[in-house]
Amino acid sequence: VSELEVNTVSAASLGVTSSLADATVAEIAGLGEIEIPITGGELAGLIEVRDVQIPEVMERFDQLAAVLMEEVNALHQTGYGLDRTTGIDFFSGESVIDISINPLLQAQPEKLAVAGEPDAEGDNQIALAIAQKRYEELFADGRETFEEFNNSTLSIVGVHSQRAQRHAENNDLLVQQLTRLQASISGVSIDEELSQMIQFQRAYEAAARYISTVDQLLETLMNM
Amino acid sequence: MRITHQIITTQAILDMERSLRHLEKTRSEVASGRRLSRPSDDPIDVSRALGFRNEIAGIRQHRRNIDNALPRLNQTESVLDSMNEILLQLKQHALQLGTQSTVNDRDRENAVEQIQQLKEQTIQFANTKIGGQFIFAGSNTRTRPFEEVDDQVYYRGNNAEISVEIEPQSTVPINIPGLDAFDTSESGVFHMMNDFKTALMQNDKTALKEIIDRIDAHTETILKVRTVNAARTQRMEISQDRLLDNEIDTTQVLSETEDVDLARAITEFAEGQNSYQVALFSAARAIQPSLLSVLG
Repeated sequence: VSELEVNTVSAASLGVTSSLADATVAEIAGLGEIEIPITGGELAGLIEVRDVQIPEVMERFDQLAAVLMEEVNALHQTGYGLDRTTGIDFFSGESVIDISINPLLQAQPEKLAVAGEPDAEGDNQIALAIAQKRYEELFADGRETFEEFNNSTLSIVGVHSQRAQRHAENNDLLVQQLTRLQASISGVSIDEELSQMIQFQRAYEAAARYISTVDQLLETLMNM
Repeated sequence: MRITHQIITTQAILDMERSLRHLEKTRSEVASGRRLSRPSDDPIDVSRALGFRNEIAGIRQHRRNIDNALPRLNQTESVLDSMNEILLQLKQHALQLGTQSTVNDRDRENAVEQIQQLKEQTIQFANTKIGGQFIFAGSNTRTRPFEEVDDQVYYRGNNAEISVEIEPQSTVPINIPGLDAFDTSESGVFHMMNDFKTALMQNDKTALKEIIDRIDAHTETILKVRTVNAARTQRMEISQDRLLDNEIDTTQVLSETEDVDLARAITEFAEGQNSYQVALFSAARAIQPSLLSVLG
């Protein structure tokens, strides 16, 4: 057990610096690193969501964006625009957060490389090829298409959430039951207290009457 | 287990809360009409519903593709039909002037004039445009495909086919490359018309007989491409019907998955309201009395 000196004059901020994978380390400004294992409770839950579950989902979205960009850009680069431009990307960006349409295309849409050959304004081969990517199984080791992969992500989130809700409900019931048991032992029943109070009151009255009677007896004796 | 008033109060609060939560859920279902508002409501059904939505979007796009393609196919058919008429007229001329012996110079001059007219018309048909695009130019759709220079006709288009996707992974070409219908080579239809004019001007009966055979061959060619075009049209129209049925069916399944049965939801909402009222009422009644109120 680490000893923590409490400084009563100043306040320091508490930061959690590493993830749940190893023992979580809390850093207190001015006092350095102190190991405080956070393995349960609301804090652990928040940390798990931040460091494990959300990154898992974000990674899937990143993968979706990366494959989309890679496949579409590769095809688009081989296509030709109306002005014979070729070799440009359709998407620009690094990840799901900044994926966007190439600003060059937005400014000059005639460079959209839909045709497979130059000077063939009605050609749509590249567009067809890109459209076919919808049916190609590019995810999960060649088992899932774009749509299926996205669906899976949704399912994962749904299942995690559902499981968390179930756990919360179950634990709620446990807390309720324990509270009842505790209240059963230490709680006050007004009926009980009042009944007992009346009992004690009567007992007291009886004792008082007894003393009064003994007092009268003694008085009689004294007056003989 | 001892029951204290604290237990009764706590439990009453919990029961009211549960009742209220159920009430809120049924209210939300009635107001939104949806059973599924979050993935955790039913992860499997949400996934299925998303799948159906994607499918419907795809079907709608395919229907749009067919709607955009059919006018071009129909226009192609119309032009080829007109070409057939032109070839018929040419054949009539050829028969008349080739077999009759009482043909004079003026008849032949008129015929030459008419053939020239039919040639101009053919070039015009071959340069048909729809939606700003030439339909007999292959994929060179912005350039006028057939150009006449000094009585010769040259093809400026290419031989590419343009296809559209009408069903998943199923594409159909929507054009007839220009040369397939309007050959510009020496054995082609334009040369035939030039030779026809020459034969008339030189009054060459033998040549005229040959012209008739060539007209037949060209008629055959037109019929071939017309058949191809008609087959594509029919395929698209059949797909169109099937896609519409698919869309309706999928929309129905989507609704069954996603949407709430309004009658049932309203009933449950009414029940929920009732339960909540009862919970409130019973809680109020239960937490008040104690021995205190009975004793004087």
